[in-house]
Amino acid sequence: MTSTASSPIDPAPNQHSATGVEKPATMISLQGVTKTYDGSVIPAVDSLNLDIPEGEILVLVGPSGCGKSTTLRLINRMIEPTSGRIIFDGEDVTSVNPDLLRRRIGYVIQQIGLFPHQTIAQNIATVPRLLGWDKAKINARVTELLDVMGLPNDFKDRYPKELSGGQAQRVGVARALGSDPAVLLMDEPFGAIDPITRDRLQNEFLRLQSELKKTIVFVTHDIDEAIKMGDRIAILGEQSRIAQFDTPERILAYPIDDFVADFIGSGSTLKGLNFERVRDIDISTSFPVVSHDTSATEAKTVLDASPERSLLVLDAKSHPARWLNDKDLAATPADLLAAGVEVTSTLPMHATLHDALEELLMSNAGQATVVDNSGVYQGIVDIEVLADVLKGMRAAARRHYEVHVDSAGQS
Amino acid sequence: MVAAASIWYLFIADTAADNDVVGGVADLANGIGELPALVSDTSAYSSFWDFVVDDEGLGTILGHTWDHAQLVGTSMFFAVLIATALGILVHRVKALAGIVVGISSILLTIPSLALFSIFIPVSWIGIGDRGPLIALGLYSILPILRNTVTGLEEVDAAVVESAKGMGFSAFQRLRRIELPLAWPVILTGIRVAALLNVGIAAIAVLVGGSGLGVYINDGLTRYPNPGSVERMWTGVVFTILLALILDLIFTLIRKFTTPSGLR
Ligand SMILES: Nc1ncnc2c1ncn2[C@@H]1O[C@H](COP(=O)(O)OP(=O)(O)OP(=O)(O)O)[C@@H](O)[C@H]1O
Ligand SMILES: [Mg+2]
Repeated sequence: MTSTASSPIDPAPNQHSATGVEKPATMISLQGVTKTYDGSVIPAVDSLNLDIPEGEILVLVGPSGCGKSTTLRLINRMIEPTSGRIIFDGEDVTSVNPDLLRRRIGYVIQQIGLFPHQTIAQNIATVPRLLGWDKAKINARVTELLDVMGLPNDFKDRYPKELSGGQAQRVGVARALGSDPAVLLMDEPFGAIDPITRDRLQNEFLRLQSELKKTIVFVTHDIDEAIKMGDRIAILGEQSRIAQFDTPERILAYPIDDFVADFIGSGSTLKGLNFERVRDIDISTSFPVVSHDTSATEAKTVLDASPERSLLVLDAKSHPARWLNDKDLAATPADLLAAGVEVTSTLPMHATLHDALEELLMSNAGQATVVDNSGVYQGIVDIEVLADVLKGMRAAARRHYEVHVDSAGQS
Repeated sequence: MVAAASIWYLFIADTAADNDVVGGVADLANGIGELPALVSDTSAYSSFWDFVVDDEGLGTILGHTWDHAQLVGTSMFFAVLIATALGILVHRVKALAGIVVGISSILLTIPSLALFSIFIPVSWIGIGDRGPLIALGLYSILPILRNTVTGLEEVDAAVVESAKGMGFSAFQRLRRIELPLAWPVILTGIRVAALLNVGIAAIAVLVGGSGLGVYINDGLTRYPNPGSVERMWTGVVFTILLALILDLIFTLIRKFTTPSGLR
């Protein structure tokens, strides 16, 4: 069971059923895989057990030299394991021709490695040509992939040296997608580019993946990239030992040990806020809210009954309109909409809690006002709400691991 | 090339004297010291022209030039096949690098006349063009081999890795990726070997072979009779012309065979 850091070599499958968490089918399975390079005594990968779920991005992340690339290269047999088994789509990889195996697996390396003597179109057409597709089909595929990767069609006849780093990176991904393989192996594919381009490529790739639903093994040494890209993350220590294998949310909420905690670094709580959305939490607080046609005295009663220092006034369409405090109400204004301060910004339901935190820190009142798509008031997020949610996430993650360890003990 | 050709010739004459392979060459060696003085005699230039156009005839000289070119071309053809094959082998099996490069380096150190004559006793070679063909071929192996190995080694490892990762077989990788990328370097090796051979091929005549060496040898044999210097000049000038043409051809080959992405 790879997701229990305490017993990473437990071979029992389907433990997740015990937790009620739906677990996708396994596409690639590494079973007790060890790789010791020639001329070395210490294995680069030591008895690794890893199940790679179908249709998800699994990120392998860990410090430099821990064996991430080695692990990846074992899957498409760029290197042969010293011992152990690797099952790909139900077959032991050592029983199939390695060249044929590799044509079924997209592979992106950090240095990209485009063929400099071939045009972009020829580069992208590499695997389809190896598979013997006919010209028209290859042509159509190249056009499609250029489009998918956001590259202009007239790039077809360019040569790799005529591309920028980011463009080359895209062509590298397009080439790996050439024959529409079900599985992609990506070794720091967005490594060698500036942070802004990198961020854009990551976003585009995630959008693409939401349609393609490929099985992707993604290697990085950057924990932030791992958190952003991964459906699941395997945090690896020396010799590719799995320290923790889980969703980014749970790893952030509950780092299993000091190694993981150190690796994800400070600010993991804040990063965790990116995974929760406002619509998924309880925002029906007892915050004092009144309609615009309420009298000032009535409003004052409401505010006095509440521990808050100001109340929110909604306009005729139930949109948040003004913040009024004690002093504003003491002047008994005839029209509540003319008193206090205006509500200048609101938060949509699909915003993340990270957005909410930013919003409430920026607002004068210390609250973020949540509205639905038509602008109708839904509730308030304040610092207590966030603290409660974080506490809940941590507790849930801990409970997950406790149940997990229990059920592993029973089996 | 002038320098190369004449130095080679002096070297041959010397070696020939020691080895006593061709009779009479020893006497000629004494006259060689006076060659520079003869070369600076201006009246020789017009008589050189007369010799080329009238006495010998351009057609005959071009015939010998063609023979010379064929010696170089044929030997190079086989040398390219053997040396690139060896280069690929060495690139794949690194353990062989020492032996193969070592042997071909030693070949280059064998004095050329010795290498040309060493095959005479072999029954199916004997006197004629066969010995020179083999000798020229052997001389060409090292430059081509070395450049093949260098060229293949210089191919970006990431490119080879990604080719392998895409599912190219070892042979497809070699043919579609490694050789095209190494080609400019290999071609440079072939060019160096070819130009070197144009000079060395002048020795073929000493073991009964053909080529422009005929004129140089004739001139030396007749020296100091009239017409001897003109003959030597004919040999040298046409050897140079052949080298220049060959160089031009290589420039064109390079231009048309280098993949556009590499230019
Ligand atoms: N071809 C090789 N021969 C011998 N040792 C190797 C080879 N490739 C990698 N290693 C060693 O195996 C270990 C793991 O290397 P690997 O490349 O898998 O690390 P990594 O996690 O990908 O690191 P990075 O983040 O720096 O890319 C390292 O100690 C490395 O020195
Ligand atoms: Mg690596």
